[in-house]
Amino acid sequence: MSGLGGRRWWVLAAILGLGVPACAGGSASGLRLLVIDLPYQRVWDAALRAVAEYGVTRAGDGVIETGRVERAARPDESGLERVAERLTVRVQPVADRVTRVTVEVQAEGLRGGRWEPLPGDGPTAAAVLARIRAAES
Amino acid sequence: MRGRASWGAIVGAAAAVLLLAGCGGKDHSGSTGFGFLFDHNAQFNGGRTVRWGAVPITVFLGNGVASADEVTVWTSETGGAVTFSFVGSAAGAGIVFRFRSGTDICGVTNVLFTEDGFITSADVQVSRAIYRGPQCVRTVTHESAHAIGFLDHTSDGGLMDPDGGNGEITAPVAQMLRDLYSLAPGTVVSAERRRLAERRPGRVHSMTFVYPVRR
Repeated sequence: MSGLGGRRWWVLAAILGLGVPACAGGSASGLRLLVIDLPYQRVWDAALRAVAEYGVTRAGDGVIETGRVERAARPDESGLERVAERLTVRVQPVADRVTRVTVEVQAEGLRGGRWEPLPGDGPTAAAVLARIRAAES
Repeated sequence: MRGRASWGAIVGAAAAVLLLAGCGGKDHSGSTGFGFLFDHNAQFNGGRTVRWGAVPITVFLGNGVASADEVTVWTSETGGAVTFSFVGSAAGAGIVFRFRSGTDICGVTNVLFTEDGFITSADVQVSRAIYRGPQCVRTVTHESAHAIGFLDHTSDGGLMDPDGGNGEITAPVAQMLRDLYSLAPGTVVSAERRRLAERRPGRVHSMTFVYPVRR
């Protein structure tokens, strides 16, 4: 009886536990940019200009994908010899003259001669959004 | 049998708690009064409100680009819910005004925010050549509303129409901003129940709505 009860509580804990990571993922502080009062096409063009140096491999349907670009590791990326990044920029018209822009960074770091995946790079995403904003002018 | 029934109830309750909890943040999806707030703010962030985390909001007026009274009108319109502190440089300011070139638009606002609902910066550019001309209506005040969280436009003939309308701040806009700053950033709101009630007055709705979609 107690064994069965213990299993039940374990299952209950598992159910609750499944919910926590799902919620934790939703609380990550990804940056979004809303551009208000500028026509969508202008925002799209600005986004294309802002990521041009990455080499655009696909641009259409509100999504811009870039090639893989290597750069030197920043001081806060200690232990890495190089970092490579690939961007996905989503430019979505969400209302009349309101456009939402998000940047997803797929990053890899070179450590000990081997490339390994890195978590999404917040500073790079923020820098790209700033460049898009500047490119609107 | 009884034990199984109890166990089923526990599992069901646990699942319900997870759904209703909405993954953190206060859930106001059952409210009947936040439809306008959802439509003009929260819908752009998956149903979670987007606002500055604290007031007063620091503002750099761009050395004459904007005047303080064009911004502080929102303090009176919100009954003091939104206040501003003016600073002498862009560094450290939350809202920054500056000029842009061109005559195609009166102004543009870029609002940067986190997905947990905190505005981190707002950059307002007004077109120097025309923003105080007859083709533009209270541009600074219009863009200021975007910068504090009115993330959309109205179609009621008022200031927050895309073209500035008649320049008057309409009651729903002021109320929405008061509502916005009465809730914490990232608060889940929903317009769906209100919409259902409006569509079918007097009807009892038996459906369960889990909205907005949560990740």
